[in-house]
Amino acid sequence: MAAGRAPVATHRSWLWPTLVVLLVAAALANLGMGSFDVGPLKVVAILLDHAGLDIGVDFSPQENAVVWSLRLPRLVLAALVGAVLGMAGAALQGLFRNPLADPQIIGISSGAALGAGIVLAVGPGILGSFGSPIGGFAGAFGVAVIVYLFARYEGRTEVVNLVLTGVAVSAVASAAIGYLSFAVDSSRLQTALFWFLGSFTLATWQGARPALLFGGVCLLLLPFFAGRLNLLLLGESEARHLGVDVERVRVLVLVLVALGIGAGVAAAGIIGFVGLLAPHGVRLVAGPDHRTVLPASALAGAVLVLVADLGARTLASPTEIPVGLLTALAGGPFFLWLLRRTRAEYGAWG
Amino acid sequence: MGLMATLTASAVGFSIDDAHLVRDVTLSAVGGEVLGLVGPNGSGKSTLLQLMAGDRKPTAGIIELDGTPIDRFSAAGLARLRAVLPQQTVVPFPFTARAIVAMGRHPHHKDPDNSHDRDRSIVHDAMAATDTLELQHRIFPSLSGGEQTRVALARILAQQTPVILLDEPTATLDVHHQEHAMRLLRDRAATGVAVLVVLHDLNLGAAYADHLVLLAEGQVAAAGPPAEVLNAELLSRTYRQPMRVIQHPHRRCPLVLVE
Repeated sequence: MAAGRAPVATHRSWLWPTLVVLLVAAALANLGMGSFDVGPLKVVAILLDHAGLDIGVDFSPQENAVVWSLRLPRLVLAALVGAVLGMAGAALQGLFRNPLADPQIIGISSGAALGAGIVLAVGPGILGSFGSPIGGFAGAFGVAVIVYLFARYEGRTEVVNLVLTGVAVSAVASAAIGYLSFAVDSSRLQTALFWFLGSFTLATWQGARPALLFGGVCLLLLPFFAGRLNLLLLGESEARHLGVDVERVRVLVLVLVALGIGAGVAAAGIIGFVGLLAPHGVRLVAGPDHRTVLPASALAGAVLVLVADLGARTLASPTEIPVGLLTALAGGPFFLWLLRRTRAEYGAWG
Repeated sequence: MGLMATLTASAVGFSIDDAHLVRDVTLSAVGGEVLGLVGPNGSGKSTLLQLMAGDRKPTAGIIELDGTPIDRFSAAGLARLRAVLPQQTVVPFPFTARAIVAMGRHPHHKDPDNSHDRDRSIVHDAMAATDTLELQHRIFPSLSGGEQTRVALARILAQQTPVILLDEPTATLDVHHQEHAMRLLRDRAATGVAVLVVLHDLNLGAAYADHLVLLAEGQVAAAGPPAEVLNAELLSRTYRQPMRVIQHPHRRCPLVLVE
């Protein structure tokens, strides 16, 4: 049932078409543009050719290889990571009743990077390509639980507590990753910068598979908690009075978030602020109902990361800029604005 | 509603370390009646309400809903039987007032005989009853304290439970809406609902409650019809403030005056 008709219902009608159009446009641009440009019509022809359709537009084998084998896996991974970041950010904000919760800011992404890094340092053993995503999941979930326990005070998480706990946890995790990169002789760990700045450079179909699986589970299951996340915004005991099994919802949502973020970070490193930008943008247009905010934030997050990755590949071509740099450049000022607004609306540091 | 229920506390106590916040309290909120819980600050009213709501587990005694200990119910099962109005509802995101009231329907979403239209009309009726229809499209956090209380009250009504517990619902309301809210609770009781309400204002209790329980230092100091509980000598002692009780000139109930 609808939680009432919001006054923004008129905006809502164009929310979905807009997001879909933006996503398609960003995807075509990502597939076509780069150090080697392929026109949008050719991109469509290449994609349809692999689906067995010939639309009568010619393309070279080289164009086919660039679009299909190089750019498409990267595109799919970037879109998925963006979608997970957007939806996970929205879910965390609801769960913590805190507009500033974001996987990076509260330290979950650093925890995932540490977990994935430890697996890479020790070797994945029988886990194979699933090793670092599972390590990422464990690190992300561990940090989520730590942050949750530390930042809570009398049934709620204060804005400043949550952010400061995240700072402390991130600092420890970053230091541990740095230590690992010195202590262990692993070629991949020596590019520790990778985890701090985020990049899709290494994306391949093979490497993206675990991220697609874990991220897909996160994206498919989180929306089932939308109604209960709405009730949690009333407060913990109020949600319980309305029949929500609060502890269970909390654990399950944190597990799903950690699953998505853990696998995303293991595949692409830390990409910050998408979990803030996407949900807050969606809420401005469509209101705070999680039944809209969760799926729409996933689409918006995918668009944001695709645009950022396009910039990462093309702005300083032929050199690549880490994609996380670009999202931080956009997200940092937004975070400051949000901080101000949150303080103004909810009193000193409520 | 039809279904009548009784929420009973038997010899209930609640202590944190050596502090006995509630001691040996026995009372029943019975279907069809308004039970008012009064007492000075720190007498344990809110704690007792939280125990009755199942938010906290008593350290002594037992709380039962129609003979079943309340910790035997699932959260969802209990939510179909009792609704709780907290002292204040803080919502950190811009939900509309109507969306807040609609959340009261959540426990019924899986009822086979519930429907979208039914939810809609119940939400509408609850908002009409609390005089909040004109606020329905306003953003809840932007409403005044009293308006928020009335919207929250509508949410409790929309939950349609045979037991409702309220923690000082009238504290933020003006005189008109205080009387309005208490009449609303009386009307609900008349349909068979058991109402347990914490009140600061003794005269609201005198005018609208069927029974009053006066708490002092976590214990029951007096219980019974308002005319019995509102005893000048007892009140003066309990509140450490000289008081007088007279007959209300127009209503058939006692009127408490501060000397």
